[in-house]
Amino acid sequence: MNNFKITKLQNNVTLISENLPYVQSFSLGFWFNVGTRDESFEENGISHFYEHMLFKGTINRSSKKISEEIESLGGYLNAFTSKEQICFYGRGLAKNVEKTFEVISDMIQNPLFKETDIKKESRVVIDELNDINDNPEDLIFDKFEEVLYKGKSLAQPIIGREEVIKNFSRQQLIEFHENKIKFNQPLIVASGNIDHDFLCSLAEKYFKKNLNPLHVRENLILNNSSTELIVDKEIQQVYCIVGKASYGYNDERRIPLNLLSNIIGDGSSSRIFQQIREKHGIAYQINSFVNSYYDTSVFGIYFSTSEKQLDKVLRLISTEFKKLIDTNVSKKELMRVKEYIKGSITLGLENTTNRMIRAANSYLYFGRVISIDEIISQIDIVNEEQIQQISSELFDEKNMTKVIIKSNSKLIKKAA
Amino acid sequence: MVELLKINYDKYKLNNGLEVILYQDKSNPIVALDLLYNVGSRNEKRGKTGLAHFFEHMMFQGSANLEKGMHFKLLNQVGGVLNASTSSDYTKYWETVTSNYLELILFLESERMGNFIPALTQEKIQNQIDVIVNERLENYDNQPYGLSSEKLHAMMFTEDHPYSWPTIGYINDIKSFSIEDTKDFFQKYYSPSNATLLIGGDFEKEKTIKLIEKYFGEIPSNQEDLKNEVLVPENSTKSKLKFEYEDKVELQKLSLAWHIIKSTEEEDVILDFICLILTGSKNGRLTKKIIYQEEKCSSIDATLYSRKYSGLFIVSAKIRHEFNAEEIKNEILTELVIIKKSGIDEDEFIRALNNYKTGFLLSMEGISSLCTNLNRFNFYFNEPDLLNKFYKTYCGITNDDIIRVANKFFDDSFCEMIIHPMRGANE
Repeated sequence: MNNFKITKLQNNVTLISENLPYVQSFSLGFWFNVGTRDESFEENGISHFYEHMLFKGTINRSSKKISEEIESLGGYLNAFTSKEQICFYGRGLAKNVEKTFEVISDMIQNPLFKETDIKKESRVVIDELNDINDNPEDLIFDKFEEVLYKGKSLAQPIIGREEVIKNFSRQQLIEFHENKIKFNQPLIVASGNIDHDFLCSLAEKYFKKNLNPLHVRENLILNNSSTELIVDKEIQQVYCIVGKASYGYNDERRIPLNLLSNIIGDGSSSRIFQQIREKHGIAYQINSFVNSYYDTSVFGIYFSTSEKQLDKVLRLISTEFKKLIDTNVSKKELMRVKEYIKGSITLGLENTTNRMIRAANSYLYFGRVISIDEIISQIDIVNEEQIQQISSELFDEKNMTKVIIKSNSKLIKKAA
Repeated sequence: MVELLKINYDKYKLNNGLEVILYQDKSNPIVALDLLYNVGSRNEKRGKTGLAHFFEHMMFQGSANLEKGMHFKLLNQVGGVLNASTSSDYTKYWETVTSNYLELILFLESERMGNFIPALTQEKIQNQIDVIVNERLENYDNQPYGLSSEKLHAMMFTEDHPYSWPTIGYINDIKSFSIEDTKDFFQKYYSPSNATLLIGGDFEKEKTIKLIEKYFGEIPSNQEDLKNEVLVPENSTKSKLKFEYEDKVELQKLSLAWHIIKSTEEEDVILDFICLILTGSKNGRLTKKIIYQEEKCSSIDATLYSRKYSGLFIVSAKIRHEFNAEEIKNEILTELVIIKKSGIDEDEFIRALNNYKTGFLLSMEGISSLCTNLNRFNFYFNEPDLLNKFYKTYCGITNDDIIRVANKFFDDSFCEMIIHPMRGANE
């Protein structure tokens, strides 16, 4: 189940693609190995802001023309910024792949950064920031990483801070473009009803220069510590994450870590879902998560409940942690989560964008596209002892971070 | 006109009345099951709102031959995914697995359809009441703008109209559900004769027909005809109203809503087309003008909510601090007046048609979403493959059609709802 072809072109562009003849569409992504963690405190949010600004026009196309050229064909352009990457991507019908390639190439090589657009866009991004702040479900994840990685660039929110966003200048964007994007090779990845050689010819046609190789990351030195943050917000429920930092993509133990997360809280047959939601009925949403970066992952358990049940939910989670430290998981349970993860991977193959993102992440983190079969073999060899070992490290509550969003208002508490 | 996607399906009924639809697609080694029951919040009564949604939760609480939690466990251990949803019109359950596990998902769905009642306990009911109260607080009461749909429906329909209450129900009603409510509900609405089972993806047809008969053929049916059970009272819609309230949000939000009553299939397609023209892309008329040129709003969306008894056409916008709801309302109404008078131009037509075509094909690439669409169209129009027909209708739309439909539905009897940021909430 791996038909990806990889070509490194003379202009240094790396192109990865797979042909899926049974679909009529494609998903095409242009990736840069740069994100929020590469930003200084003073420029926090610039990667995300830059991503927005690339849709504002090039020396060849106005903003209107960018969207019209793609939308008139029924296509779709979008982008996202993470803490480690920026990706511009397009989807559409297979026959329109060249137009999408051409437009995105133009956007990432010839942006305008007009002063008036910068002013306008800063308001749009501040609206987005306000939406995050309005929504406790979004806000708590930003706050958790802020506490967990305190003092490191990884602690910064992707969207940035309001006082920084409203002061971004044209010069800053030009410098970001010249230093991080323009002379660096994009990783171009496509999945769908496309032809690899044709895409290579497009990459040679639209990228002339000899570009620098992909940015390489360095390891972060991290120590977990016991920290608690309470955020006051006028809401009737309490939102909470409890967790710590763990192994990143560059550590093989990330695979047993994912299995462990699955055992404790991912999915409706996991331990905490069954205990806290199905047995005690004291939370609707409760799940564990692993959010991985190159050299670290955020592991956490997220839930919301009423304030009077908060301590009970935390006690029950703590009990589940202890059980996993004290007793090996059974072969049967480990087998169940292995099959669950393997099945999820297989089912995810239906979507061309998922396939494109999976291949890009694999290449950016491991330098190759790891086949589904290899991932499945890596999952299969994990044993109960490895799970036990990670449980002892991960569930040691001395170094846990906890973030709680709740209201201090008496009126709200009464209403709840 | 060429069909966008060849959808060959078989449709038949078992002796107990269960409707079966089979759609074979061997592109990936995956099979999906979509089981739709002809019951939603429209079948509830005031005082027991939320019962259909509550029931969706209860269906995961075990049955005679499966302990609580086993449905999840059995599915998860073969790597399958599952979920369920309740709307005002119907309730559905779905599972997707690799093809070799088709028999397992047929067993799981038949087991709870046939053997739910013997495993029902008061403890399970109380447990799920607690879960749903948390769900309501989390997903509605504490979400920014989370009560807007509930309030809009309560305003636009009279209390006896089945769309006037929210699908999740009111907290006091949820807390009142008893074991008798649950049994009565199951016996009436969860009969095979009130459901449609759709299997899509990679399977062998003859073998699957036999398996369906094996697992579902013996389930007793009440054979009750519930198609016309809900009678919508006369004069139960309200128009030309204005309503305002405060919420813990940053930006003001305006919603303008029109009732879409007694529309034809063709008119629904044209109204959907008007949504695309107004806000379907960055070049949508309202999006381009209000978001990108004037920058008065941070978002604007036009949506058609088509349902069994009537629909709503809603335009909602989040307004930036310096602007007010009245001027945004006027801009929206002005754009509708232009469409009512002159329709749209050729470029807009081609763009909207291409958008529809791409959206259609992308939504058909995953077998689960394809099955969802087929079963939904079968529910509303008794024909699964309506998407191809809709596409043909789209291609045949003329400017005169757009002007005619816009004039029919966009009169001045719309409802207006404004949500104001609560003073001091975010300070």
